[in-house]
Amino acid sequence: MMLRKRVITVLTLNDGTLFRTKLFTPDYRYTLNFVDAWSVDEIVMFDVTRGDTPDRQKFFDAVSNFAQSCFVPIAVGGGIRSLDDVKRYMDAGGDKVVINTGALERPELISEIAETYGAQCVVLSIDAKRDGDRFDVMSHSGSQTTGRDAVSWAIEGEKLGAGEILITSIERDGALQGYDLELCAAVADAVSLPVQVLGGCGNWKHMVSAFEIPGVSAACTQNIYHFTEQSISSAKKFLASKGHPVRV
Amino acid sequence: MIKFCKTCLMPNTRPRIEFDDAGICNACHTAERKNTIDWDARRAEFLEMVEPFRNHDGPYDCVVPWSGGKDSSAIAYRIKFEFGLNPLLVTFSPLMPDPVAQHNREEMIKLGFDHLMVRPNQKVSRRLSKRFFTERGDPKIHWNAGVNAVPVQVAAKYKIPLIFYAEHGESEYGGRVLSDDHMKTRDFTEVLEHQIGDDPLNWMDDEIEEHDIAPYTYPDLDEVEQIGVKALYFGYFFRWSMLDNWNFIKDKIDFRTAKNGRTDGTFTDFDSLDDKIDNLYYYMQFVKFGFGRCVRDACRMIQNGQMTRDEGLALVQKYDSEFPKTYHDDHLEYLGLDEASFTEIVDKHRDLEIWEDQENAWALSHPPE
Repeated sequence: MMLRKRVITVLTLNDGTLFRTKLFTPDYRYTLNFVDAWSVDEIVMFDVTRGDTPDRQKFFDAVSNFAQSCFVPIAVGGGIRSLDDVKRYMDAGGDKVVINTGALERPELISEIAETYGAQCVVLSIDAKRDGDRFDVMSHSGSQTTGRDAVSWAIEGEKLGAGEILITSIERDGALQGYDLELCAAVADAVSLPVQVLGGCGNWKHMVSAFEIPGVSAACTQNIYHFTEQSISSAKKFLASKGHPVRV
Repeated sequence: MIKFCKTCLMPNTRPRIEFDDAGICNACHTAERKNTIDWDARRAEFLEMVEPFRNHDGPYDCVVPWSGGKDSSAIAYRIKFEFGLNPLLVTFSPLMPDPVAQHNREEMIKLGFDHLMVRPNQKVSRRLSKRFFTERGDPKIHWNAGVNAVPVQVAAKYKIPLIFYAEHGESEYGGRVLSDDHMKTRDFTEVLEHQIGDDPLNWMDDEIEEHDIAPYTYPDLDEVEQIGVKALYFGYFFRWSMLDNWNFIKDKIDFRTAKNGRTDGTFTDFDSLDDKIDNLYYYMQFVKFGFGRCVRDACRMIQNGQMTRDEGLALVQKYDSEFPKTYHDDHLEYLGLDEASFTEIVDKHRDLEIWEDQENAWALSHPPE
């Protein structure tokens, strides 16, 4: 039997308020009241509040509210640097954590989380920017270059114990032109972990294109208008009609 | 954190708006730049640019997307009578047509224009309206898609190689300006991503099929490019001001205005008159972002030097929060909602960074100051 594909809603919260982003900049606010937490397969919640020591309380409150009312897994992330951070994010209601810059600064963080909570709790998020036919890993919300290559970083992340990879095309963030399929394929090809893809999803056909890549297990969308019950059900019907098994 | 532009009254809750370090919004910077632009040179650029389009192979030289309001009518008038081009006026029908605008359109057509009006399937349109009012607090998302797509469809079908849009909203009123050329040449993708927010193909459901979406989708953009369709902003070539457009057109035709002397939520009577649902649209903008129709109008006039910030603020304090009562019953009927569900939906769009729940009443947590 083919494994079911997942549709994942990615919520970016800035100081507790849900925003759509474009090129990693919050640009359109929305309320959380229309985010469907039943028919979607997973929810990722990112705190994108900037600053050296942002107050994350409003973000944790939002996570707790969601966790209480929904039964799909919630992955949480944004600024996680240590096991103490992980504990706070899990206590707020996260089922797993998404790490990015923290793992780039100190790759052993991946192993520490995997050893403490299990690999299924660690999603390694990679923000990639195209450079010719390769992809650079960027850190700090896409603002700094790291000199790493996205594909080799994914491979290293797998070795260190990550349970899943979330690959994001920075240039496609907030666009409606489709995922960067070359990026998705390069990463999905290189690791045996489930790969979630993000950045550029405009319509359900784009999800189908992503799922045609072996190894892509989840199509993520950060577009606030894809989060509603009607949108998710329409996406899933479309995916099913194209032969991609999904949980309806 | 919510803040207001230091020179106009626009808050940073407006989608995509950019503030500089001095707390001034990008619309105010656009307005400032208008004072330094050599408009004679822009006019010359316009004349040179349109020359090859005159009497090309076909009856029409250009498409003018036209609501019949002051802005698009001023453009259509100038294009025909000042510049001698033959435009085809294209209207994507309002959701709830207001007779005032119907009258104004008729007055224009009498001057000698060809006009094409597209009115899509109203069963589908109402269904989408209700969905988008509910989910997005905006009953006219699909209209916005249609009003953008239909002139391009017409240009492609009739092989008319030039379209004149009015102004570039992101620079003129606050938003994200992707490049200087974006203020001159219409970028269809930008419009889809910024204003409509998702792909109309996503709107299919149990009742709405792919062919029902046709009025809302762009034609194949490669095909459009092959025909060589140029889509330009009139406001790039000629200094843009809604008040000036109004003063221009009211001397040319019997242009009628809102019957009560002003429209709901603001002090003007000459703007956005064609669709009864606009009153609700602007109110929902107030609910979602904390600034209403009066802030919108006042900012436009402040930016163009037609009003002081203090004068604008006084008007905003008086009108901005006004409920859209004039056509409220029509709105409920159109959306198929009763009063209680309407209120529930409205309140679900209140962002708690913007609103305070003060027992039985909502108050802005950061009123304009």
